[in-house]
Parts: sequence; structure tokens; C-alpha cells
Amino acid sequence: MLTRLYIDNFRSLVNFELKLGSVNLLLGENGSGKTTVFDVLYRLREFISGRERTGTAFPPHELTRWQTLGIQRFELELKTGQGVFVYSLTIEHDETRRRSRVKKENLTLDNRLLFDFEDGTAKLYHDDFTSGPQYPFDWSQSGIGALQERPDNRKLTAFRREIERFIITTIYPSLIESESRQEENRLARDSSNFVSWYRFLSQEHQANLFELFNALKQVIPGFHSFSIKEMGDARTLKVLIADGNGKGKTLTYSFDELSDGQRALVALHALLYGLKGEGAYLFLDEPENFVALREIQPWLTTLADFCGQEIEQAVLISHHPEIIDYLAASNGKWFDREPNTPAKISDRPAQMVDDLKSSELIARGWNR
Amino acid sequence: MTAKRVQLVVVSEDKQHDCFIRHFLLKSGWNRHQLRSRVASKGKGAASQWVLAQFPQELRIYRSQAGYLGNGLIIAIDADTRTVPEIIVMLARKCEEAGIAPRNQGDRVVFVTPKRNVETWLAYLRGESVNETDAYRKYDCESDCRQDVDRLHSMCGRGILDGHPPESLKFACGEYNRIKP
Repeated sequence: MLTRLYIDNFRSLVNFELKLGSVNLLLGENGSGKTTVFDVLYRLREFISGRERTGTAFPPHELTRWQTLGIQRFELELKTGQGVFVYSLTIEHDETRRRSRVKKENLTLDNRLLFDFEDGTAKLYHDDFTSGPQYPFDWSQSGIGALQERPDNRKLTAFRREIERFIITTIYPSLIESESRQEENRLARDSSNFVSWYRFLSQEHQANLFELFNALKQVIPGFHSFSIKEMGDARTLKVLIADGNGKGKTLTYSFDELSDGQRALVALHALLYGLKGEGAYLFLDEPENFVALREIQPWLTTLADFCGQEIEQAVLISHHPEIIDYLAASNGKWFDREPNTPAKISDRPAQMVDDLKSSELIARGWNR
Repeated sequence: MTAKRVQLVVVSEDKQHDCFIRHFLLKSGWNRHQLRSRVASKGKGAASQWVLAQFPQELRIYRSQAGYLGNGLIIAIDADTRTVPEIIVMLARKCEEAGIAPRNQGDRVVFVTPKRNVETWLAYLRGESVNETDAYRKYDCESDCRQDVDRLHSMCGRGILDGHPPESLKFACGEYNRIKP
């Protein structure tokens, strides 16, 4: 479980600390910094996994606008079965703000070093925490992301695999491409590659599809199953819908013939059931968008019930009363921000008013 | 669309009650679309007052729509230092104050009143020796109660609660017959 995130000097997040539990709701006004948290997690995931370098993951224009400091700091604390990993990254931007580089990067497990990079030199530690090789390393990428797994660095690579389980996405049904050219094991930040990701699920997590189909039968009238059809070099996702009682003859529809809401429901349920038991961390921005009111609570209670077991952790951003009233009081992280000042966060408002639902409190305005 | 119609409304003072009851109902054959949760968004004390205040409103809605929208109602409230009968009297008084008849024999309305609280039941279901006075540990994550509820469901299937169950749990098992499918 991701228990702590620290961010300094990234957009509106200055000396910002977020502590998380198993199920979390980030709430607050537009522009208060909620989605920025997800953006940082996405960039850290891509950087640590070696897919992005400092120039694209941490470009200078993302420095906090009202500060002149050229140093950005990020920390993650991850509680796992192996112990508590703490990852720290310091990015330095030069005075022209055209270039950025890694100043420091290190990883500890239960306060003992596994990797340490500073001033161009990386130092590795073995799984028994004894000193390993020291070598010059590239300033523009993650030293952890560049390592191959070996028998003596499994703890370090286990951390990287854990980070790879972060799914950070916003479901935009209209952006979901109906054709897929290859399987993709990561759902895109905007969910546009859902069909390619579904192809990956259908290959690697086939056993979970039975439950997914059963769940979809509850939310999409007549839903029978999916099939993947070849279309030249590409594949498309087809949806089989049965007559009336679900037992009659089936008609085949293209995935993009479903409504926006139905496609959102498919994606939301695929996130819960498709990776069931795989230790996924779900970071979902406004998951209720497009979804009928009647469908939100059943999905939300499934998510809450799965957290800590079928899925590792969930962090939601939402403005919807249904989600706010279920999670805000006990699992809420309340964001607040004035123009040109840093985002602030609290576990609850200074004053909760009896007889006023959390959503109503938010609608009327609350004091940090 | 009948299968998607809410059949049970569950009003709870916290999410641990809600999770406990939902998991028991799912094990017993209901599906999520037939359940509607309402959970107090307040601290202890205020939360139990909130449940007490909701009861007459929900009972009125249940009676006006019995057989249509609301086929049953579950009210979950910790007895804490009170007795279970005292809580039931408090619920009845709330009805009188609201000008409606208290729960009667025919109402498919269930009172879930753990004493001291739901954590007492969870400790019992984990196999601990419990009394209804002491406080027992809370789960960090409410859904961790699911395996305890599985044990309760299994005992209910056999028709007997093992060992020395809390009296309030025995009472709740009797209450469940009001809505048992």
C-alpha cells in the first residue's frame, strides 16, 4: 500500500505531504491540486520503470510558478509484504530552466539502503544490504529503472514491479479507440487504449473474465460476452448482447456502438475484476463520470470491499455526492487552495455540521 | 429491470456495520443492485443519533412502498453501554415522536444492535473469547471483516452459533428471519 507521498515544487504542490489508507477519496474544488497528485504518480511510475527521462517526466515548466527554486523533490513510502520501501528523488533544473537532471535518487527497505545515486555516481546494495558495485550513471534517467533483475537485487526490482502495478487513469469513453494493433499491459492515462489493455487481460488474466462478464450482466441489460475480431492488421472488440431475458439469440455490436455510459461501466468493472488478485493500485479520476446514478454505489461498494484483498489500494478523485457521502467522512482527503498559493490538505474540515451531509457541506463551502 | 430494483435499505452508523451487513447479505443470495447503503458521515455519538433520526423516515418510506421499492429495511446501531432492549425502546420512541406506529410484527424491518459494538462480534467470529463490555480492536480496512462474516454465514447455515456468542448477535440472528428470503 502506498502510505505516503511527498511532493515539493511541482505545480501547486509545495512541501506537500499526503498520507493514504486502503481506500481514499481526494476532494476539493477545481484547481485545488487533486489531479496534480495523480500526474506526479504517473510521472514517477514512468520514470522509475525506465520509460521516461527527466526531460519529459519533469520538464521545467512544471516547477511551481511563484517560486524561483530549481530543485524538485519527490518521496514515496510503500508498505509491502517485504517491508516498507522509501523512494526519494531530487530533480535539479539549471538556471536557464532548459535542462533538468537527477541530483539524488535512493531507495531503502526498512531504512536500509538498496540503491543510492548522487552527483553522477550510483551505488547498489545487495538483497542482504551489503555494499554492491559503484558506477558512474546517466543523470537523465532513473538508476532503478535501468537495472536488470538478478538473483542479488530482487528486493529492488520487487519495488519497481510494485510501482508498475499503479493504474492511474481517467475514463474518457469517447477517447477509447475501437481498434487495437497490439496488447498493452498498461491502461493509458486517458484510457484511450482500453481495447488493447482488454486484449492483454484476455490473454494474461483470462480466469478473471468470467467474473467480469457476470458483473457486466448486472449493469448492461442483455450483456452476454466480448469477443475480439481480426480486422486486417488490427483487432476490434465486439460485444454480444442477448435478447430480452439474456437467454435468447445474441446480436453482435462493435464496442463503440455502446453508449458512453456503458463503455465507462465496462472499463470501471474491468478495472475491478480484470486484475482481481494481482495487487493493483487504482488511482481513478472522477470514475463516476457518464455512469447512471443507480450504478455508482454498487460499483463503489465493490471497490471498497475489494480493497486490501482483491486489489491493493484505491485512490479516487470525485465531485459526486454519491461517492462523497460514502467516503468523505472516514476516507476523505480535503484539498484547498487560494490562487497562486500551494495546495493544502486536511483529513476533515475544521467544522463538520451535524445533519449536513458531506456533499451538502461541500456545496455550501467549508473551512479548512 | 426488476432484478436491479433496490429491495433492502441498510442504514448504518459506520462503514464497518455497512460492510459487515452487506457481505452477509451477498453471501445469503442478494446482489449489490438490490441493496442500498446509507452510512452516517459523522463521529461516534452523532452517528448513532443520525441512525435514530433516520429510522422513522425510512420506516415511513418502507411502509408507503412496501412490496414496490423498499422490500425491507435494516437499521444498524451499536448498543454501546446500553442494552439491546433499551435501543429498541429508543427506536420506538423516535417513531412516536414522528407520529408513526413503531415497528410491528409484519414489518420486514431488522434491528442490528451489536453490544458493545460490531467489533465485539468480529472478535467473537475470529474465535476470541468476548464479553459485551470490553472494546475490541478495529480493522484498519473495513473489508477485512469478510472472512469473519463468512464464518457467521456458515454457522447460520448450520443453525447454531459456536461457543459462547454475544447475546446481541443471537438476537440479531433472530431478527434476520424477518427478511430471510
